[in-house]
Amino acid sequence: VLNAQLLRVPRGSQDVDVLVDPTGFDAMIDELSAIGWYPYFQAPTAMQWMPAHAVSLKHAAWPCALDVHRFFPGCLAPPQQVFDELWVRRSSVRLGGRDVPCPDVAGSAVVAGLHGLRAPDSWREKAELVYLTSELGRRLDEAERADLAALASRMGARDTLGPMLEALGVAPEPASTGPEAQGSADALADWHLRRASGRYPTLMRLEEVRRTSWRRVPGVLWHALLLTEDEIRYTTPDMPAGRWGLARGRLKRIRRVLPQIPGAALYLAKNRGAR
Amino acid sequence: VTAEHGPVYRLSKDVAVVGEGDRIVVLDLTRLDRPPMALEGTAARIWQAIDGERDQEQVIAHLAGAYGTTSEQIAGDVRIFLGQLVDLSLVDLTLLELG
Repeated sequence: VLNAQLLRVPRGSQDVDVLVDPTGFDAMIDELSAIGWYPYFQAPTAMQWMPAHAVSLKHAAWPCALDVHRFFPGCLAPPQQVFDELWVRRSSVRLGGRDVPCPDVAGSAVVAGLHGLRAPDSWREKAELVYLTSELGRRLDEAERADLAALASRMGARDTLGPMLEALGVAPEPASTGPEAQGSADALADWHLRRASGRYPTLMRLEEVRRTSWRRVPGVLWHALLLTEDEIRYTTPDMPAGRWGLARGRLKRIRRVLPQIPGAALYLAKNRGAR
Repeated sequence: VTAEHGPVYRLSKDVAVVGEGDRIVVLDLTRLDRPPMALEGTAARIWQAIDGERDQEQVIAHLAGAYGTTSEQIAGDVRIFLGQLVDLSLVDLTLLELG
């Protein structure tokens, strides 16, 4: 879709991202399971405090994966509201000779902008964000930029998309002052944590420990350091088979992770107060 | 329909198609439990010859011209493949409206 809307440098995709009406999410997964799509283990990022934004599915007969999204990271408004905002102004692109519903240019800009902003340490995301911003700057007039800012605000991306809107010279929408403002502040802090986790790989695990009741801390720490066998084999694909290989992989992980902890802990101390 | 013109082959309205040239992938949107079908080489060329206006003999003649051969040499294989496409509901056989 982004290729068709000329919002990124054309490239192939290894997966297809779809956003599903939250009320139909489980039914959608069931339907896909019934025709052979199955969830596959991805990265060991599942944290109890941060719900998974998508379920990744594969199929024996398809060469691509399917990421079925409950929500998009960075859209801090309720998922139903985000879906409705995108759906009500949807557009379509011609794919495979069919008209396929998709976000309009402003909706795609919000989603793609957040995708670029969520990994500030990734050169590809950074390059795509620069391209997207420059393309929008060239194509959108003043009214369309204001519309983009208003849409971002309704999707709860007023702050998370802030750097891109600022680069486009768009005046920010007024901040919310309602009772939901504190929830938004917490969600915004989580967003910044997610962004910083590229630089500090142990950050998310440390945050999980920080949020855990003291009784569960030993177990959470144990898991954070050693991971499950599936998780560690995913992160260390060259690990030899068998128990000895597993032990060596875990030792290697401990050696890698321990030096990363001080930097991540310092970041947390600076950026997160006690909860 | 005249004596010279049999039912024409038309791509089903329920298929999604990507690709071009020697490789085309077809998906029946009414049968998503079936995997996408990849057509390569001559199969892709037969698919491309189905334009909603040609009947069986015209498809064969078109392909024979494109490959520099005779209709008799390829007719059997093309008929079988067209039949398979119809059986899979990827292609419809339709009476051409004249006039």
